[in-house]
Amino acid sequence: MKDEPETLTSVADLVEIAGKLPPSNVVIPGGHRLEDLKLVEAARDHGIVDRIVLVGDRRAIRNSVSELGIRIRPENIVPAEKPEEIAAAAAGIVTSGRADIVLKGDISTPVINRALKPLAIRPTVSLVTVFDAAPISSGRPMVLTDAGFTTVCGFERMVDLIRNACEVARLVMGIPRPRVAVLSANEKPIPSLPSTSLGAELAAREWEEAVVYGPLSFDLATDPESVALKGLAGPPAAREVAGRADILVCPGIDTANVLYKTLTALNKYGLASLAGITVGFPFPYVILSRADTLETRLESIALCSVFAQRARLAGPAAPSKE
Amino acid sequence: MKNSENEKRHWVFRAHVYDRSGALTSIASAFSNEGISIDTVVGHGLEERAGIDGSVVMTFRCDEEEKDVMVRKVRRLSKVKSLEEHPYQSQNLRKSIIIRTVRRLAPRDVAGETSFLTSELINSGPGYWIYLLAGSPSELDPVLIRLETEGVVTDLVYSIIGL
Repeated sequence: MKDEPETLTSVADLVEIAGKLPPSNVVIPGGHRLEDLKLVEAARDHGIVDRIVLVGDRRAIRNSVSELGIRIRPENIVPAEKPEEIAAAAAGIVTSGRADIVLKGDISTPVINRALKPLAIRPTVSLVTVFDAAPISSGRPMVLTDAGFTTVCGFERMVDLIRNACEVARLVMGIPRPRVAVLSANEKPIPSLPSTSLGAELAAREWEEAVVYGPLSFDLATDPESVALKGLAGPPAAREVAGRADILVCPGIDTANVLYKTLTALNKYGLASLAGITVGFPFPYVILSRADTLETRLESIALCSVFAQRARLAGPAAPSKE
Repeated sequence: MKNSENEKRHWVFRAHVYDRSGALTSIASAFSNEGISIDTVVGHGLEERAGIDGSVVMTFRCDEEEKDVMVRKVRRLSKVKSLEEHPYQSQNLRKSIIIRTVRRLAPRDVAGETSFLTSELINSGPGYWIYLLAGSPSELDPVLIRLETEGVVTDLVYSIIGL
């Protein structure tokens, strides 16, 4: 029977949801860092993770495993010395099916990204952040993209970002046709503000998988009271998305990163939860920041596991046509 | 000088929840993520509705700022309807314990600083007495410590805190 995901009501619930689905197997290139091992062990305690494959310096990994007293089968410690060898081994492990999720450990991001890049099934790899924040849209879960990968956001790139985010909204949040707001500083196209024109172009495109409208300022995307106060004339998509957006697409990594860091600050204050997943490969890829709280780290693993398991049930991911 | 707001204090949360077992897991996870240990936790609710809804009472120690973060985090959990927070020493709280003693308790044994604890002899046998004692935590805890120090209490069978 096909698994029809229920609507996600809170990011914290991802841990319980992931625990009820089949557990995922995780490979960690550079897998000797204590904080990563504690994280995957916590995920194993919650039933989110089963097999943990650690790639890297065998002695360093064994020392860390021994220090934490966790159980790793000898065959799941894969020795590799140079960063490029570690990255290649991890890519081989996830390609062979021994792992469902890649969690970046103590390895340079460009090195592991270079090894994974040939495996991408989409033209654009992007970071999709699922969050809920008490002061935003009454605290309901939403998506933010792309706070981590895409530095130059042209039209086609933005189309890819929206598609990647829609896949997360559908598989993880149970939203079959999400409402997407393309953010800018103004809701009217202004020549001196290119992101407004980009938003309008994206809104004019035909979309099957989503209702897309832009440009929208942050408040007009998330706050129905602002929409009522300011008023918003426009096509049906404007009325559908304004004040009720499920996905916030930022016009660039700078805006997205500022929003992401704001959410991180709210998380530390107890007013927000967030979890990240890198989309575009045939498997979820987790790059955690050491600034992320343990809560965010665990919920990110849970998000990736829910995505991986539901994608598996739904069948092979379709490569993008572009 | 250490800021008094950063001193570890003892707190009590009482959460009204939709699903006791699920709520316990998510609340425990929220505390664990913040590195705060829960000292005690008790779930309340009608047995025939066990696992459906009810309340969860827990005690823990942390500074006031950490407690405020936990209030916000726990209130936002989807399985939590509402949350009350109390300092452990609040006179609004009631703690009850069942103890096994080596002798019959006299009135002076159950005298707190300002009032007598509620006490009831539940059972007794050769060389042992089982008592239920109740009062505010600030009255009851010193009495329990005194009775343990004097060797009167041999076993703390049960301890629960609530409103």
